Order: sequence, then structure tokens, then C-alpha cells
Amino acid sequence: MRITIRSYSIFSDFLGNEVRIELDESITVGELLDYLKNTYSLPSKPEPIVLINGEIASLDQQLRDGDTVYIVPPFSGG
Amino acid sequence: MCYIEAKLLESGEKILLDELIGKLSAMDKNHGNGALSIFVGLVKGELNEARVHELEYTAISEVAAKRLEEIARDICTKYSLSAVVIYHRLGRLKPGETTIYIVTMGTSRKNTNPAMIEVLERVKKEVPVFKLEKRSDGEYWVIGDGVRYRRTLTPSPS
Repeated sequence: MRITIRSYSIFSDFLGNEVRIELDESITVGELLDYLKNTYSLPSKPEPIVLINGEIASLDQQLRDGDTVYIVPPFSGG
Repeated sequence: MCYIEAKLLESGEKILLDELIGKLSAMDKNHGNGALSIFVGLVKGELNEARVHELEYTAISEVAAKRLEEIARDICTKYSLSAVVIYHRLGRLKPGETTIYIVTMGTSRKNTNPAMIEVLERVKKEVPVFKLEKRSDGEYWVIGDGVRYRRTLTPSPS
């Protein structure tokens, strides 16, 4: 399955704006974060917020083929 | 009925407040509204004894625009307002330039002022907008409401 990862703010320094990955089997959001921390040295602080297709996702949420995953820190608008 | 306008602006996009106020007050045919509150955020030129050269705002645009509108609708209902307008700028902004405009219109300052403040607090927490501070002492990612991480890496290529 294919997943598109988009990152913002501090995480974009590690991941770039967009990464596409292909996986043999489905994984959870938590497993994806572990993979990104190991592969891209993604920092564990600040704690990333993950949005899937625009909605905030939980760590145990299963990713699906074609998902767009956003990796972001706490928001800082205003 | 409540008038809602909520959108993201590019840094160069002009807002004419007099025109906006005129448009909103013209909607009030019976003159039942007694107050219109406005908050305008500005880029600070100095922080922690460092000079700020520029702020750069990015956003998950499609999500942010939707959230701004949801917040505007919620606040309109909660405070029984007749209008809520939220504009948030993106892109590169210099000190003194505007970052956000919030306008609330209703019967009295007793509902428009707290509504305006609640919009701002909700925008800070609920809208996926991100801030990079470029200062005389380095670049800092602003995380949440004011925690800063010094930028140590150059951006990875996409």
C-alpha cells in the first residue's frame, strides 16, 4: 500500500514537505511514527500530532492505502 | 441569521477595514446591532532581547480554512451574534504587519468582546497554522502557544 506523508514546521526540516512510502502490509499511526523516528531521526519532542485526511488520528489507528498523513507539532496560529 | 466569513490570506493581500465594517453594518437593516469588536494581530519586532526580522506562517490550508469556518459558526451561535469574520495571513510577514483579523458584530460589547477573545484562543489551539520566527539570534519554530525550538537543520529536500 502507498502512503503520502506531509510534514510542517519543525518536522519538515527532517522529512521535507512530502515523502511517499510503500508498505507490504498495513501499519498503525504509532508504528509509522516509530519508523519515521528511526529512518529520518524525527525528534520525539515536540510530540507530533498526526492528521489523516484532515482529521486528528490516534496512535492505534490503522493506515489505509492512499492515505495522506500529516505530521505536525501543536498548532501556533494567531 | 449569522454572516460568516473565514479565510486564509496571502501575506500581500490587502484588507480594507472600513469597507468590511461598511459591508457588515449595511446588513443590519433594523440597526439592532450595538457593537462591532475587532482584533488585529501584529508581528512583534523584538522578542527575548532579539530583533525579529520576519515571521513565516504555513498551514495545512484545506484543513485550516475549514476549521476557521467551523469556529466562526460555533461562536456566532454561542454568543448570538450577527456576524463573525476571521482572516488569517500566511507567508512571510515583517514586524508591524498584520497576522490575523477577527471581527464580531452583535447587540452589545458584552457579547462581541468575549466572542472575539474566544475566537482568538480557539484559532491558536484548533487551526493547523505553523510559525517560524527569523531573528537576530537564529531561527525558531514556535510550537503551540509560545514554546520555541531553535532551528538546527536546513530543510530537507522534498
